[in-house]
Amino acid sequence: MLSDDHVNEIIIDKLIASLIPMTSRDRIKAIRNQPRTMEEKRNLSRGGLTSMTENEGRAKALDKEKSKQTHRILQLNCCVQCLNSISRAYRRSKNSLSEILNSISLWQKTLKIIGGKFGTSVLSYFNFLRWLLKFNIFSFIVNFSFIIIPQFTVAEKNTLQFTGLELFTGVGYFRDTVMYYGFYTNSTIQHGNSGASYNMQLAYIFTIGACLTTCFFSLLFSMAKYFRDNFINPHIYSGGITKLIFCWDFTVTHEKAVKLKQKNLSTEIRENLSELRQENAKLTFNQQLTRFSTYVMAWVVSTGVAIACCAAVYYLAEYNLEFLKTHSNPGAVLLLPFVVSCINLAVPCFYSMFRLVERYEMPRHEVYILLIRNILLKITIVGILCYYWLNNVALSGEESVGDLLKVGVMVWVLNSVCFHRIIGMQLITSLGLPEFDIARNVLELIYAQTLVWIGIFFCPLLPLIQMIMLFIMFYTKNISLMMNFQPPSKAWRASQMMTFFILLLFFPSFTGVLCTLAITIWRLKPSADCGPFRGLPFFIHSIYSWIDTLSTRPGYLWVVWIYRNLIGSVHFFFILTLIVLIITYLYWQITEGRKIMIRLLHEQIINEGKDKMFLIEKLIKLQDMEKKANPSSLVLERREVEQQDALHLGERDSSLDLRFRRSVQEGNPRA
Amino acid sequence: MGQCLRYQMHWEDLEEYQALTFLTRNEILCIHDTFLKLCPPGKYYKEATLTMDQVSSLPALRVNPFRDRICRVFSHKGVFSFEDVLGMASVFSEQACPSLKIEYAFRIYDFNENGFIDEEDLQRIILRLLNSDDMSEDLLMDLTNHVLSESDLDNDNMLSFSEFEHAMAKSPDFMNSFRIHFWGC
Repeated sequence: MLSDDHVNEIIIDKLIASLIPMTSRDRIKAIRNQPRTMEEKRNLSRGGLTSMTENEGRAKALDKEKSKQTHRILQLNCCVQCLNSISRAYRRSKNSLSEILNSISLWQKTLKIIGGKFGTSVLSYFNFLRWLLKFNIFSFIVNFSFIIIPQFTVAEKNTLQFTGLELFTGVGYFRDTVMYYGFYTNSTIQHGNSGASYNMQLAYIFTIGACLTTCFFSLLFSMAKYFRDNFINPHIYSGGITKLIFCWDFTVTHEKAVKLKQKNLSTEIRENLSELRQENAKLTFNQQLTRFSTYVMAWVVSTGVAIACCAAVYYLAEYNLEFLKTHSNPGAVLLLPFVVSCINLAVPCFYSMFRLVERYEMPRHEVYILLIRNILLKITIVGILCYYWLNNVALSGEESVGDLLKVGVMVWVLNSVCFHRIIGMQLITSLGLPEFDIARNVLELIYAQTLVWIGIFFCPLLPLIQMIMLFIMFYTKNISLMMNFQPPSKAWRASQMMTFFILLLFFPSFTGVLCTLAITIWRLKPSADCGPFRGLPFFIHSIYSWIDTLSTRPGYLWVVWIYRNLIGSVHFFFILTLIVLIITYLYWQITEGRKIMIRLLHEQIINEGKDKMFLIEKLIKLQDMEKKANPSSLVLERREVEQQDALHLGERDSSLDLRFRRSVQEGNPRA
Repeated sequence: MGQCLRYQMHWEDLEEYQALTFLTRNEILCIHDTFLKLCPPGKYYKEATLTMDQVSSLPALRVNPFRDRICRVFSHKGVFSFEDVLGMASVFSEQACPSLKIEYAFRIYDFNENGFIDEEDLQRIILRLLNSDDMSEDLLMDLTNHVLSESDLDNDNMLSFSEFEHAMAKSPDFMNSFRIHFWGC
């Protein structure tokens, strides 16, 4: 019968034996990962002189082996040694760099406090906000260095007056500043007679292109990473209730928060249980029919309202044009953005009232439907405005109208961003809804970021405005949270929500923005008397003319070749798409195969469990039979007594036996 | 007093702790400060011990429903030495590896310390989590049965370490929630 200490000794010996051939870096990692006390880890790292192993000779032998190993290492190539020392230095610098980055990371302490008070789901909103801020900081820095600073060097004096209204309308004084694209020169800036030249047109288009491309790849990678972590890896067996029971949020340190969390957990568990029970409940045909018809009606009404709002916005936009022509009040430009913001605030409240009529079995579905309706509304309104703007600029021949329209769009963008936040906060808090609704807040962030991306081509300073807005948002949300102290009642699964948010950001928002920009660049005629592209038939002609100038210079022919054959040819993109599709299909097949494997292995585990129980029962029966076969032997040898005791122990504490077997078994794969 | 506290730890010890735990330099020094504030003055930090009550009343653990289990798992012979506290902070730190967190989570949740999480353990966990008195017996049994049906793979009505590991290993929610910040700085 194995004793506890004996088992432990075996495990430690195996561990030491496995540690010896490892490199020092792997050894440190392996020791750190051991679930042991500091004392034991220290002894392991010093070569196995543990207090548990009584075998000094064995320890000495291990030491000798270790020194032999080091001797062998010294005999290796000095190249390998160089590499080792380089990798060690690299690791050390990486550690110190990450420590420095952690210490200057923005809002680190505040986020820890929020996480402690409200939990990880609210924290995910603030993390998302910080992530968006990084985008905007990057865009701003790139824009500033490559577009705005060169423009400042050739800036003309601003002759317009500054009144306070400009901060809201964005016209007037700001019209002749770097905020608007119309201000930028189309010339090639040259300082001194022999200085390098700086082509403003190309700089403009390439800088904006670089910003958006970086955003695209960063979104793609984040999405892939979150998707892989949250949806592919946790497989069918990560059941809902198990997670609720075992994933208590240890980061919460505030007493009120803990009590709230317990209450929420209780509600959620009961909901989950009722969900599971109701999966089997069947409704009568009549009930099903009524329920189905309420769903259909609700969807018809909500879609109708959305369409009505879109039509209203479209006609208002048309009317706005004539309105602006006749009235010269600078404040009149605010009408369209104001109306759009009001719609965006009022209609979601209306949608949430559908809850009274529609009945869903799972409250989770209710929330998803509400989210989808809100998203549809917002996207369609944005889409209608873009469509209107693009069409009208294409059709109209007058430059001044085109200009005014561009200015109008910028105004709308800026003000939607500002208004939405200010009015929204006031309205919602006055209606007495103090709960921190994560979904709604995140949607607002995504909406604002979409607007910024749309407007970035015509207003390069927009990331700066968005940055300021995000800063203000962070502090106001933080303060309102602390004052109201109402964390959300629905416990969202934080990590899955992040995936969902980023997916939302990517699919409707970013791709829509890309389409709009593509149409702008390829199909629209730039205005003829302002902006860096004045005089060109289309925006894209700046690149065409650049390629033409390059093709005359022999040193840059490879750029022209890449442009003509890779970017400009259809075949290349076709082949690329084909490759991506093939890779996706392969991954899908691998996932399917793994699912089958998991099912088979699960069945195997069940069968092995049954085998184990069968064998144990058989063993017990055999022991009983043996006992009966030697019934009343009073004189027993000492060994037999010991054996019998052991057997009795084995019989009674079969679970203890299993535990030791488990620890030996576990010792093996870990060692 | 602040000055003396910080210089009590030797540089080599700090390096060793950094190698053996998942904590950064600053975190180790902060925990060192906190430890010295709580232990009786004048004692060398390597010999001083804290009682389980003192550790339970740390701000990070004060309201945790499982604080008594955490103290039991990480203490030795009923008291905490400095290295025990470091070990605990290391397991709960952000950089700790998942296998370590799962191992200690299993030990914490195993209330009767028989090497398995059985029905009795599950019921005690649920009662701690919900902390409500109006938990009916049926609901408790129902919940326990659901958890076991989801995670018990070999149908023996208890969760062994492998089954627990399997349920938690790929769950990012678990990794993110099994964290405690011990240092006040």
